[in-house]
Amino acid sequence: MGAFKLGNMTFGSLFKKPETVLYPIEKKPQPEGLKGHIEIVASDCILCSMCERSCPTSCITVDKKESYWAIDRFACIQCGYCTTVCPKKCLHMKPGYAAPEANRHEVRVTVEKAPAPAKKKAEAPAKQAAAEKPAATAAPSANQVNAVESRDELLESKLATMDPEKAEKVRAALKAKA
Amino acid sequence: MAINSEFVNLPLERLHAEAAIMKGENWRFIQTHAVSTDEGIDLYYSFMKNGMTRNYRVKGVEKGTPVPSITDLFLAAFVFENEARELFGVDMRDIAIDFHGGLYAPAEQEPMTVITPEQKAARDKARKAMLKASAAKTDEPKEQSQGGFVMTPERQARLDAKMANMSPEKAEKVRAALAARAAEAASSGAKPADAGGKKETAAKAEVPKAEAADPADNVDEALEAKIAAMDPEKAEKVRKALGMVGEDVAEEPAKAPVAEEAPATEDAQLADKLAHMDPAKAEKVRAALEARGKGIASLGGK
Amino acid sequence: MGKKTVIPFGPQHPVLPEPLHLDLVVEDEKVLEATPQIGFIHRGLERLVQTRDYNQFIYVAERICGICAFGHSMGYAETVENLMGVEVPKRAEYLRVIWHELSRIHSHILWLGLAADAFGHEALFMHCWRLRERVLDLFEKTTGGRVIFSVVKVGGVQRDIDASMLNQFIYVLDGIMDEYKQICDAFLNDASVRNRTEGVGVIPTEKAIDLSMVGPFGRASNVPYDVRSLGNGAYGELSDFQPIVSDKCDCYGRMEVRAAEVIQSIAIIKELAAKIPAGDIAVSVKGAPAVDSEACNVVEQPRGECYYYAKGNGTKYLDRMRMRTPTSQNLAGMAVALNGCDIADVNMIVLTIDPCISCTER
Repeated sequence: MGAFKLGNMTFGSLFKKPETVLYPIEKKPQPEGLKGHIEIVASDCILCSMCERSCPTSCITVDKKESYWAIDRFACIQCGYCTTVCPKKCLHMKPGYAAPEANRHEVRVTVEKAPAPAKKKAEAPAKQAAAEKPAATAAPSANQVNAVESRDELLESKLATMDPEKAEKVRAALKAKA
Repeated sequence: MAINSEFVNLPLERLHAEAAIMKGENWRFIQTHAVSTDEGIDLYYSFMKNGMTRNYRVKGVEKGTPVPSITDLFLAAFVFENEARELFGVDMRDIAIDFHGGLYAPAEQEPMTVITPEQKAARDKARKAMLKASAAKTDEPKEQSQGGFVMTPERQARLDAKMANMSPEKAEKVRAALAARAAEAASSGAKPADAGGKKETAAKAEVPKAEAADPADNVDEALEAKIAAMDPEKAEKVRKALGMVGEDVAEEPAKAPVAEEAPATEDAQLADKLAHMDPAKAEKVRAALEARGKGIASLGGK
Repeated sequence: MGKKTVIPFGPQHPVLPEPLHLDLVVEDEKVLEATPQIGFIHRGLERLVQTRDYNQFIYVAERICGICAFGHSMGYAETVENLMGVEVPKRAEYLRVIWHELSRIHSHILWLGLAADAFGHEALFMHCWRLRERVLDLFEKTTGGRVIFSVVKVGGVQRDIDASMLNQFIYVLDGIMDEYKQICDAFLNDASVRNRTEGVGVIPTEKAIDLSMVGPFGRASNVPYDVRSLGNGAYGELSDFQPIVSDKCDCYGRMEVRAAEVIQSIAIIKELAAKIPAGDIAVSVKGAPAVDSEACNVVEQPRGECYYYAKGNGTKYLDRMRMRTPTSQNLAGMAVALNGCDIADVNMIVLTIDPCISCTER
């Protein structure tokens, strides 16, 4: 028993350097491997949408038609699951927390179309898209996205009812087609 | 390393008495939870003693069936019992600290019992896929060696003849019974004469208290519980079928004492599924089944 | 004799870090009866398991609670591994236990700080949290997260800790030891602290067993139950493990147990770091849990034993996932401890069970 047991420590800390930092001026160093934000190496991406399907919060959108990869940084929980499932390992978890922003929005990264072998097939949807665009210029592209989404959903639900093996094959075929 | 655990079936009427026994034997109450299944709500009561976890499984509690609270014995259960009532709609009676539906006050009634059609479809597909896989697997001799139930060629022929006379529906039932018998034969092991007695207990849906963690006993219990969980009509048929082939069981040489419950119960489910399939597909599955039977027969020859 | 009054306590209360509500039936200054009420932050995570596959759900599981995040992800992964019959590499088991013990250190130091705050010792609170920061830095360097780590996966762990980092663990933990001992001295021997904690919220041993209390709350009532002594995972490789118990049965005993457990955890980390085997850190897990397969598991989290149950249905989505967290088990004990106490001691007693209502409601 005794009083002022913490006296030494309290007195000592009067003469020590403060534990805290003057935040906006001085920043704590971020260690390597910190889970800050997801970055994509767009040149390696094949738009397979594995990340889209694996994301627990569905914050990633992959659009093959428009050829972009998008992330909603407000929904991302920095779990890093997408980086582990990516077949090309083009997603990386990098230090540096996403900065606060006033409006919720997606960050879009345009992915170049796949090279030679897929060219012929890639042209066809591009033409289609071009044909559709004049008609839909007035309406925002959201409509289009919705249509694509609902089709995707339909497909997914169909796939879900198939047995896994077959579904896998169909998916592979779809991928190849795209 | 997994923890030491077991799952034991328990009829609802014995729940409170069993909890009192556990209390007397100084088991520590771990928790209670509910699982929503097609047959109703399964309630789980977990206890631990000396590093052994025992989970009592009260199967198929239907809506409106009163469930006695065990909070008079284990006060710590009050959160879980309130939870089971609000999220699963289990009719819990006499909880010591009763929130009367105000614990979580969910916006939706019994939210944990809702199964969306997509979920249901996915589950059914997975079940079917697994059954197919297991049916295909039985061609491999390794799988059969664990089957325990031995189908001799003569018996197969006799059975086929019998089945040809039956209505297809009934034939299915018999097949299910056969599968059940396979499990019975495997589990009863050295004492096949017991089979009759076990059946009676099954009819009463009375699960003997598992004194020892004997694996064979557990399988028996599981089987009985499965029968008890079926709808009464079907259970009756299966039991009849079991009686019909009961004397055969007595002859069964206990080839492999290793109990394998899974394929047997799958078969029962399979038979059920077959009835709902389109005829062409059903035919295929049946052919696979027969191939399986022959595989078993070849093993019997050895 | 005064007349009975019901005083609502919480869910917003300066001393409560968690939304717990109590109806205190008070006569004069004595609490006659206390009824706990939770349910303010129910999130339905047990339902969410049906729409997230078993790999994804690990990131949901660790968000059940911010303090025992690692314990939840580890417990969940172990349960699914039991369910699917996956054998985890030895090195992964060691790494899990090292991180888990590190999270126990940070949880207990955090709790000691909150307790100091509850009895009004602000300086002690600050010092506790300062030390905890060092532990969080270790987490940040090895897992990339300070609170949510996302480092466990079904089949192993995602990141390795190399030998130099393990040495740094020991260096840092040894570094805080001196200051930690001074803090413990303040907690356990300071007259003003003892006046607030001794003889408050007593639960005798028989009562504790009767209420099936778990974790430090139970161990402070001399119930020698600790899941770690069952030897799951790398805990089985420890040369000697004895649960820390106290026979004080009051708030002081609970502080004593937690204070000593930090030192025990540091010893465990040192021992495992010395004999961690080389090898893989994960195995790949393919397929889905079988139809109607069931598995259960218990893990000793900082707050006590946590029970997990999983049921498969043949798809990659689990049919049911159950986490019974230590707080929900201890709520009954808390209600009993509150009976007959002074109203000024209510916050002390509530804090000493280390309530985590987020855990309880999932």
